[in-house]
Amino acid sequence: MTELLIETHSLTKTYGGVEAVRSLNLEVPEGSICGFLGKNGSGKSTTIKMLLGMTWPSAGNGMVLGQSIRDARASVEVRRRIGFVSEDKRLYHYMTVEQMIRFTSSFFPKWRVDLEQQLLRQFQLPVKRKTGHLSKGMRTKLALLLALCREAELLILDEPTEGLDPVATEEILQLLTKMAAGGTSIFFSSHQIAEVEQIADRVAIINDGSLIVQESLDHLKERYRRIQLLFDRDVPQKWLKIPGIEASHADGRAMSVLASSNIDEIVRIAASLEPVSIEVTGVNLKEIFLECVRES
Amino acid sequence: MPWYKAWHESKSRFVYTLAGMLLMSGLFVLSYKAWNLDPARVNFRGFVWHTLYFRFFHAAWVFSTLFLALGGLPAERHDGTALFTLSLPARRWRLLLVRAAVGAGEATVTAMVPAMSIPMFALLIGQGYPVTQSLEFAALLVAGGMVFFSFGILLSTCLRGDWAPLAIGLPIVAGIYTGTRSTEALRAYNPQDLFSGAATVQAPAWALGASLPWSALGFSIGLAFALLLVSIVVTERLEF
Amino acid sequence: MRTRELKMLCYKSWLETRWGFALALMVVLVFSLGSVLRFPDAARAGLRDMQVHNHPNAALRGVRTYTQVEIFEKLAILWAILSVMLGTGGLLRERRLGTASFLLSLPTSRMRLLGVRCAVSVFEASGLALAAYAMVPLAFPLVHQSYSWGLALRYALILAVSGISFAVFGILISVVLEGGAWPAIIGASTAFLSLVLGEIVTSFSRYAPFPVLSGESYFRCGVVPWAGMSVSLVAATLMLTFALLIVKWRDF
Repeated sequence: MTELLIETHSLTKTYGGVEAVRSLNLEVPEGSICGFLGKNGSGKSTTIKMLLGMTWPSAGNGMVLGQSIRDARASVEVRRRIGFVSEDKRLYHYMTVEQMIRFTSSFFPKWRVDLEQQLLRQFQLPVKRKTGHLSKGMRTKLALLLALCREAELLILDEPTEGLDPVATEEILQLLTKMAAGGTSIFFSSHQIAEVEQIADRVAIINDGSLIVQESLDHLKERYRRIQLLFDRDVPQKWLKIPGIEASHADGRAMSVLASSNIDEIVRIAASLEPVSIEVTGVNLKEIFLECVRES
Repeated sequence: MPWYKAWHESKSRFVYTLAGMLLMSGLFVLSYKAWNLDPARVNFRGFVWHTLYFRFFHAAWVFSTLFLALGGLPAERHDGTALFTLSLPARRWRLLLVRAAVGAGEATVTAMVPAMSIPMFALLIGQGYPVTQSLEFAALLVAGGMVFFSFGILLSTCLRGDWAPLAIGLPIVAGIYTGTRSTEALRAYNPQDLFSGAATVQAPAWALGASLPWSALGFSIGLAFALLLVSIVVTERLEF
Repeated sequence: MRTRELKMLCYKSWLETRWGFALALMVVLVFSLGSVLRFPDAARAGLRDMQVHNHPNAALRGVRTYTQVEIFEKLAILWAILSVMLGTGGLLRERRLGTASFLLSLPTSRMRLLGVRCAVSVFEASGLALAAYAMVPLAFPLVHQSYSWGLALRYALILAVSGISFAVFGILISVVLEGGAWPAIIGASTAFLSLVLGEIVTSFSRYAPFPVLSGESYFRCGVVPWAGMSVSLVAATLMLTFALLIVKWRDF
């Protein structure tokens, strides 16, 4: 059985009277690349902060690399084995790139100097420049370098490609894939669903603090299908109350149905309505995400 | 709306300095008897002038003007909101002048209200102190000391950081006070003497005389406007 | 904790505070030097004493009295305020700047982060005291006078030890108050008030820290203010403990 690197049990965080995270039962297996999706304010960053001991849970518990997130001492050991990029990529404005690297590397005995040099060249980071004078994209690249060179078992990345141009984004995604192939597990949040779809093998979707989806990406995409129907008369509506239909949209005599299960039955019933044409296609992650958060 | 923004940004600093000035005035007045002064040498009015209008009230108010002058676009850059402010349909010089006007108003209130409180505190210990006399000293201080507020505006226009303007401004102002007091040739320009009425106050009334330092006041007010003008020029040329 | 990590955290704290330290150092050195250079004028009765104090001109009572009244007593207040300001900063400020997440993601405990910052602040405050007081015997020959190095350093040590609670107060106030200049302003004004209050309100004078900081008992009768220094150390320990507890459970 695959070991879980991250697991939470009814993890909850309340700010005042507002539940930012609600009874979260998250599982991230070893060796996976898990994309963590959610709307703005859905609780992604709060969850990540709790996993890293920056914020204390109001209820529930969690384990990261086998250590409890409620144990401050254990949290230090966890952080020695993970690489982290925060949502806010600001670094110490009074340090140069070189000083930031020297400072960070002092905490990680397994620091990859070879990877550091490679990334410095690849990202074209000016080593003598103060981080306060770097562009947003360069700060993001530096933050990634500081995380990736730690030789971490687990990378926790909060919007790692934010502010990067498409070329740099592609470089980062390929690098992450390579690291995953080398045994590093990755848990990352992103608003760029296409990126998640490109590299993740597992997806967790959070909405209003609650986890609504948590499964492998292939399985998720396998489950969802879009059924396009064309009629030569008015579109019949009553048949839509079939289990598995998540959403439907009618446009004149055309109808589009999104289904998450029971596909064969839905297709059989749709066919019985004698449409002019019926087409069943796959659905991308963006549509699944939009549908999941809408209905939730 | 720029007025609202300027007020909102500065109100906690204003409340803090006003409370501090009131507390300090109250503490000194109420502690009068503990000083065991010989009334024949220094009466209550003389005590108020020496400890407050010449020393602590004067110093605290001057330092508080630097505190009230904090803010502006460089501070907003530090906070990350400068681009938002600059995207609004308002000229930079207008934003600065509004901020300066609000701050100057706050600085004036920070002098006048505590000055008015001195006679009230005096009543609590069975002493009397004319309200008009108190207000006259405060008005002299405000008129002459606004140059330090303008200096604070200039520093906050040129320097970034949470409290860099204060950290640089306080020693400079303290240096001006100390330097002009210690150097024989500059003693006539000492702000403490000029704007506390030291040249005209005398026992037993310890009130402001008829001859105020008009030329010093004129120079100080002129310099205050000049510093403000420089701040406007610098602000217009800042790059973000 | 690995030595290299500790060194790096100290280095980071130093980088954060070096300009503030440099400015504070300049202020105290200029004050010390300026005060010494004013001695001849003071001795010629050029200084106007505050009449309410009924003090005879300190300079007329010799170098030692002048140094105590006009330099060390004023330096004590200045140093205390600067020490509090130097102690401000920390995780709340870093949260405002957006770097708290990065620092907290490193494999080191919050306690150690605070401890290192406290150590650097105390070290800087001590350096300020030593430098300011060392300026006195260094500068007096310029006005054809002399002051004992040993005496100056003893006063500096009294100040540094008895004033340690001010540096730690800056640390404490930074974990409680957020926002820009506020911790420094409130810290400095509280320090000033605590020093001045004992002078103007007689019921507080017994507990006033100012006479301890300025080494008044040592000046008057050669007695080191051990009790005051101990109280300061205890207060510093309590404040640091309180700050550690707050930081430990705070959300960032």
